[in-house]
Amino acid sequence: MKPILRLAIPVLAAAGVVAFIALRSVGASDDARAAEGPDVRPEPMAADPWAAPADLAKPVLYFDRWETLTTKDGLPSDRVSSVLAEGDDLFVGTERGFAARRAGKWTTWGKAQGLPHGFVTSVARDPAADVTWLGTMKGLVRISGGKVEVFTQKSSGLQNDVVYHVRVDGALLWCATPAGISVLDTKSGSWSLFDQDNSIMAEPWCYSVATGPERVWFGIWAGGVVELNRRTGAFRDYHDPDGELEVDLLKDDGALHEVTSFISYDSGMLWQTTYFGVARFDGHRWRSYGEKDEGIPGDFVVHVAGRGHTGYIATDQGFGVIDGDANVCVSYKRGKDGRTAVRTLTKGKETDVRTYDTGPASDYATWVQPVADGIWVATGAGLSHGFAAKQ
Amino acid sequence: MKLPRMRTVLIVGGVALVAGAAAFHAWGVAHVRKVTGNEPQGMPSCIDCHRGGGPAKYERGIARPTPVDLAADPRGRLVYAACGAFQRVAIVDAESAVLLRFIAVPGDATGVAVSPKGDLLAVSLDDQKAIVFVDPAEDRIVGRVEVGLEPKGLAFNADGTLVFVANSGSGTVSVVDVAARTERLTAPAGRDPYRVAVSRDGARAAVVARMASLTTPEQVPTSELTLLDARTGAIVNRVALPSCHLTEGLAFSPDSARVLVPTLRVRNLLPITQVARGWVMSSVLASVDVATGAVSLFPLQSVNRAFPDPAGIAVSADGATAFVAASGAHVVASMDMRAMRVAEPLCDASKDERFSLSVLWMRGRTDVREMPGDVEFVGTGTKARVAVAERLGDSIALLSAAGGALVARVALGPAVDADAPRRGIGVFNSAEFAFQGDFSCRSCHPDGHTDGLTYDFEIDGLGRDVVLNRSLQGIRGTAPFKWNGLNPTIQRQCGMRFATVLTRADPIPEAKLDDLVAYLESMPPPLPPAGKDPARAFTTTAVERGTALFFRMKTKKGVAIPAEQQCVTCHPPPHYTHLQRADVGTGGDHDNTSSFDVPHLTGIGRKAPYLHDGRARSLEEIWTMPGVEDHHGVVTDMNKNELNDLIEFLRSL
Repeated sequence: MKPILRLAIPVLAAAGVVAFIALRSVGASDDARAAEGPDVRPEPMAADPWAAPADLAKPVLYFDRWETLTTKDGLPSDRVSSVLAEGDDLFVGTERGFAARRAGKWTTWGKAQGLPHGFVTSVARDPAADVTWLGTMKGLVRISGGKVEVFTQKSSGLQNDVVYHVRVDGALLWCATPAGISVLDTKSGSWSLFDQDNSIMAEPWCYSVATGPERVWFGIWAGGVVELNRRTGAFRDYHDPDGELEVDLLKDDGALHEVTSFISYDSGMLWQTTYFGVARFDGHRWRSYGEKDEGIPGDFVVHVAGRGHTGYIATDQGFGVIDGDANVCVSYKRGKDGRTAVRTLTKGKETDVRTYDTGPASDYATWVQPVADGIWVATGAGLSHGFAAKQ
Repeated sequence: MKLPRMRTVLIVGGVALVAGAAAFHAWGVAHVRKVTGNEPQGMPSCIDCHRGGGPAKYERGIARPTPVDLAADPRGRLVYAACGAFQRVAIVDAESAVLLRFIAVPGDATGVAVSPKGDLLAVSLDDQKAIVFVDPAEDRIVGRVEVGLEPKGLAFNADGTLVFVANSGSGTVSVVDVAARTERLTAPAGRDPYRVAVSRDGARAAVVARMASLTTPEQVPTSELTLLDARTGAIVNRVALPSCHLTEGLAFSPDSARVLVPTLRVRNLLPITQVARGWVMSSVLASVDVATGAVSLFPLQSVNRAFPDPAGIAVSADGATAFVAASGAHVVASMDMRAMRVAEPLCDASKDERFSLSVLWMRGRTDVREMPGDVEFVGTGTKARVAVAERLGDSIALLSAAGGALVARVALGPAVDADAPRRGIGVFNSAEFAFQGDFSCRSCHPDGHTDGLTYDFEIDGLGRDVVLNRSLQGIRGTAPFKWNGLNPTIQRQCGMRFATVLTRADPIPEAKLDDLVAYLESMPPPLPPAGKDPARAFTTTAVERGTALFFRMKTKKGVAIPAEQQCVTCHPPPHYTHLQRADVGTGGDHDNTSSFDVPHLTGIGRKAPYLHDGRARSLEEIWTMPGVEDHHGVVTDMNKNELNDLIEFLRSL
């Protein structure tokens, strides 16, 4: 053996031993710390967003008694754009400000109270922390403990001051804007943005966001629906195979239309509203519902709230209910006598017609929220509360 | 020379190796014993203390058994002390004035709370974004919960089912479910939420924000007291404390009707032409009505006797007496709470406080060791004591609850000769160098950071050069100093001229100035606010894209960016400053110059507001405010997405 190797081998061996000791000591301290307590981590999320829960909410189709709140009751405006009910508490967005009814008492916020704009497009809540988020035409607003904080496109990562829809998703806040989707991580303060440059959006004009297990959906004007897997960051999209913006050529062939006015997800069902009707997607198949064939109040649909496999919709021609599993559509329309005509179509055939003495304040419905005892319907003439008819 | 045979080499080498390892081990044990005062825990490696190179945190005088937060065992005699970077919780018997033992925790302990039954501890780990639960009977970690950035104070609710955690780095409060060991919710809680208290009736929790909320430079700063429902964690109210900042302690009154908050009132909108009589800042005890949110401010100082840097507060069970620590004066004062209630109509927060009233309730002062912080009542009857965390003394003082006299002192570690950085901490936190002891360096630079406020120094003209207070964390190697870059050294920055324009007293003596500099240079930059969560893949690539934007030399269209407009020209790593001045078009009408010292960007995410005059409240506003198009880097070709990526990169520094 060469002399140099005779020296090199023991030197290298010694160096290896020293390195081993050093590394072992670092590892030992880390192991000691790791062994000091149980590893508490959240359970992994469900992988299948299309799985229906065992306790699926049953459809409630009929609401036979209605009461309406207007400016006389404390609302800043009769033109109500959004509503969110939490138990007995009510949070209402209007074209002239925001109002909250807590323990029977109304509090209103307008520009004088710090809102950047009077038009409140949507309301979202973190009920645990009692934090309210508002989308407005001039920025995002957070109200907590009576304090109003405004986020704008100039002062934050918000893409655009016109916030059409806000949605609370755990620690994340999703905002749909004409310039894309902005997401605020409320724990770290980081913003993430999605638009046509970094996603598969055809264009960035987003009207709404829906969230479900592991997936988020964006409703896009002339962009259909885009789905994001938030764990992997992968996108996929849903388009109307017709490729026509004027009509829906073929029914149930895919997403109903490219212009998505709103989306909602619940219990394994994604709902899409368009100006040409409503569609729902169960992960495998699309079904669409229109005024002429299925009996929804009108094809110009601006909002849907999914509950179980039932869709509650707001159209410019009235409020409607779609029991998707049974293929039943119920429409509510005001008659000239002020009473409400309620028409039911089952699988496209009229199966029930009734009349209620009361109904939604106006056929121009803008937002709906089903609640335990019935439904709230925001309209252009006030906020109406429908009570579920006894089955 | 003939080389030795292989066998001989191996034998000799092996013996030498074993001998060397044994000697090194012996030296290491002695070394750890000497610098920490304790036996080595497990088998520590050099890297444990010398992480990142440079002096060990022990040698910098930081990782000593420094009591940063106290909690009294409700059953009687024990006091628990969170000991910061020492990564231990000390257990002290207040009755016998004895240190019983330490409990090791896996991080920097900045907060400790005891469950109502005394059978569980919750400890904030400042560097871990987590709290741990500890069984104090078995000295065993029994749970860990992820919370926000840099958790500090925490408290159990009355039935021990929830823990409220102030996340100073996130600006949030976490509500932790004790049984489930999970974070139930996170809610906004002002800027730098610091300490938590729960009312005796179990209805409310209060979180005090140390810093004033970000406002425009011409607005009066206000810090925030967040009130939560102690049973559910929901926010009930966010009370603004006008002109207040550096609030580091709070306590509920025994009747649960009020929250008492020692704090500073800062008058940064006034030009600093004098110091006397609270011209720059004064100390008060804010009393917040829980039901209505009404605020009263009771001066803690008198006309000619300051009470610098009020810190912790403890209120006696009968509500008659309170003890408040003045960190900058190294005293603990006792207060007559009943006298305060009588004088309350004179102490409305909308009025300037009347210092002369303080004689009505300030009873006496007890000298304690440097930098007293948290204060807690412990024990009952004749054995009732007030425990005081003597932060720079590495000890806990035990005062008589009856009169405040010093009864005993419990050392948490062996006496060690203070090195320069350690002595510098003392200089930094002492108000002795300001006129009448009105304020210390800490008063504007808590933990060496920045209060985020702008100040107007008289020397350059009233209303001229109104500049943002800058963070001192991470300034080593970033000379020159001062907003206009005219001070080549920290000694110059903090020397004679500083005494002339701010402290209005004799300058800091040279030897102490050197110690101060040593301390300032030992501080690392603040932790970045953004974290990477692997559960959300899309948040991690923004930093990567932003990095490319920061270092780019061409626009999106391929046009070369002039060197003077490239970000990296003025902000090269490692400190992200080229250590010179630059004019980026941000000078205003009230500035004597438009050329400013280029700030280092490490920790920039935690240094809001921005620009020399603080006019940009967020990083976005640096570029979205009018008048700076492409003078401050080339950004006008970026869309909002790209600007956000750039900002995420900056937040990651």
